[in-house]
Amino acid sequence: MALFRRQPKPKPPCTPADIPGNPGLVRLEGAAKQALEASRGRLVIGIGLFSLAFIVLAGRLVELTVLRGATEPVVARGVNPELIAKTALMERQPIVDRNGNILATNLKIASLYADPRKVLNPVEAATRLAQALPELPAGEVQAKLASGKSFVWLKRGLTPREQYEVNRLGIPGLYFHNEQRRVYPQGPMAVHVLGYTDIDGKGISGVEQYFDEQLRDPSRTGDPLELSIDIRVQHVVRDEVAKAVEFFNAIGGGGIVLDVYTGEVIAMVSLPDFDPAEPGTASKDSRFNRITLGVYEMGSTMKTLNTAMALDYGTVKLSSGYDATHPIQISRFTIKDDHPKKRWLSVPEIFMYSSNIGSAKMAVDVGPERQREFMQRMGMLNKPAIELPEVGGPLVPRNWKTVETMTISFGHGLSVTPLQLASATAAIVNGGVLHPPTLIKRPPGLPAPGRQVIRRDVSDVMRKLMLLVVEEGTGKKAEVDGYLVGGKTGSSEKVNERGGYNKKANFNTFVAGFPMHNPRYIVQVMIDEPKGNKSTYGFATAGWTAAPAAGRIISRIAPLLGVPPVDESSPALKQAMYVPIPGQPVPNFSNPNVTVTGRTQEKKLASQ
Amino acid sequence: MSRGLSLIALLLLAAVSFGLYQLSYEVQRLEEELIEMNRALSQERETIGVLQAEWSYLSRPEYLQDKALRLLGMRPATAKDIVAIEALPWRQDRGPDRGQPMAAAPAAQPAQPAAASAASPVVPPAVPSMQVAAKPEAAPSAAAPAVNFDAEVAAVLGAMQRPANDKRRAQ
Repeated sequence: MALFRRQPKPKPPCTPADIPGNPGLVRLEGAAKQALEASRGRLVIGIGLFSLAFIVLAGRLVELTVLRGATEPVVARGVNPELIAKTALMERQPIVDRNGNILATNLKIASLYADPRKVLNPVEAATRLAQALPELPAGEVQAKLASGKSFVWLKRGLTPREQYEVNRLGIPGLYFHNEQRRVYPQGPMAVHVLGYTDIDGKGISGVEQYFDEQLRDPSRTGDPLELSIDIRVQHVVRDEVAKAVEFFNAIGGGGIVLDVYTGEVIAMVSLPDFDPAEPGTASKDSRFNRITLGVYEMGSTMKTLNTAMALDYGTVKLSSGYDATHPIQISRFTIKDDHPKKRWLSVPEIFMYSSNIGSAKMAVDVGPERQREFMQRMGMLNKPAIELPEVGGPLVPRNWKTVETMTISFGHGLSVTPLQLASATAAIVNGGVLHPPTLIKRPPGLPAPGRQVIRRDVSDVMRKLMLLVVEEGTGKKAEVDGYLVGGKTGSSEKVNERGGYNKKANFNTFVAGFPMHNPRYIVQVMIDEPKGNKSTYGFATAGWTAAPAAGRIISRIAPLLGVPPVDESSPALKQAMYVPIPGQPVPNFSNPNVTVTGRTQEKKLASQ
Repeated sequence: MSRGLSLIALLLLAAVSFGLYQLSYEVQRLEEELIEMNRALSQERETIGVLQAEWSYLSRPEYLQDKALRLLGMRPATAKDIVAIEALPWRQDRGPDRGQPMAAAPAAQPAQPAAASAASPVVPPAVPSMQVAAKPEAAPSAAAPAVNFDAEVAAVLGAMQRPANDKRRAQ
């Protein structure tokens, strides 16, 4: 302002101020006065505008420094997309198991290339390079370095150590190209669950494909996909199934461990498998997921569902039974028992001795419509909902009449995936709630989705019956010290090319739950086309092949999963799990020695 | 007066521009630091990623199993190796029955029958074995067939009560 007021102060050389009676004050009249006032007015407007601009600037300054101070560290934390693009470690999120062990992750891999024109001494460079990377053929490298081109690949995918070694040599003309590569540190361990990616890092199988978009989402950097798989359990199942497959010279096998209360898949093994690092070299057979993509006639393991169905509809009581003396002739089929008792059998005996005749009669009393409705309820007629692209749909008979009802009762005529059987069996032992199986870890404490499919009391009875199979029936070889294991064996003949059954090719299944007084897990073992050997007296049925493997799996994983062992011979437990069988004496629980346990020879029991 | 004001204004101008330059250089320096830090951070992340992958690779269950079986003489844990804390015996100089062998008070504690009978020739004090979920209502006296198991448990518990020279059990 001072600048502007200056003007009137200095005295003009000749002014009206010299006029007497008018000291120091200039009065301008007319046009001059008007011009001055107009310019003052303009100045005020200018001042106003500038003040306004400065106030805006001051306000903005306050806003930035005081009011929006909290957002300042945003950049440092790396949410700035530009920075992410520069610094992001993973183009694809890692996959971890339920305990946080890495199953799949992205690593920056350096590839070594050379600009031969800048290599001073190809011979020396090649010899020195051979020390750091002994697997490179020195002659070839020398030829490449002497080629005079401007670019040659020397080695793709160096380990960090190799990169360090090459760097240490300090050879001019060698360069690294950084690229990302998906690595699977656990090798083939859970390959059918994980799947694999193509060369561009796009998931083309397993959860890598199912969750491809989520895994590639850049806003989830470092946020791993948590699977329900427990790598320790997965290893045990794979180890034991592989041993059984090898021992019985089978063409394949599989295993599932399922949490009965959440539907979480703790382990899922399909053998043969392959290394996900090199999916290209894997055979079609080893890439096939037998658990979710393969559909099989599950054989006698379906009797678990059949018995639960009959008890749930109330068409039969536990104490009643059916005459299994004569085989059933219906249309072109003859339904007979593999190890016929040739007498009336009670419901527990039908289940325990795996009687086809008894099961068929039990199913006929329920009827085709209700059987179909029951199978639908148990999720046996639809594709299982699991987070994998490789899911097979069940083969459901087009005509569901009495014949089909009979054959389905003992596991023929309806082909399902092994996963469906495991999850239905989980519902049968856990109090009757069917939880959809999942490969994603459920947050602990939250109730898992599920619906009541059978009555609770039926489930209680079924657990006792399954225990009976292991204690007295066909599944004796699955017994484990310290754990109450209940299960059901199933050996079905596979369908051959001509559409008939192949007597030599069995598909063996053993589905077990443990501990049966307080069920926690389902363990299901499948052996595809086992051959009997000397140790099994030539038998190749599930009781000899799959059941012992399941037993060994349970004995190894139960301590890992924190299942407390019990004294399974304790009278209190025996009494709690007792099933009355008509015609057999009731044991004296307070003095077990009095009981006459009908110990039959193992050979006889190894039927199904 | 007006001369003074102009001077102050000029000084202010100089001070503010100096401050502004300082600030802008400071911001530039901080930005460089930030970029450097982010670079270091991403490098550390990469290193962590590599180490995690390596850890996962080296702790593969199959690898550890092989090493444990071959080099350490370990074997898979079974139900026998798991004992509830209540079932552990007291040291003979401690505990509620000080100086008293536990077997002398069968009424007080439901001793596991088989362990008691099989163990008696080996070690005098019998101990309650695994009783996690269920306890027997009475203690039957007869020996059960699982001799191996019980003998082993007795041997271990015996070894625990002696001043143990060899802690590891024979397989």
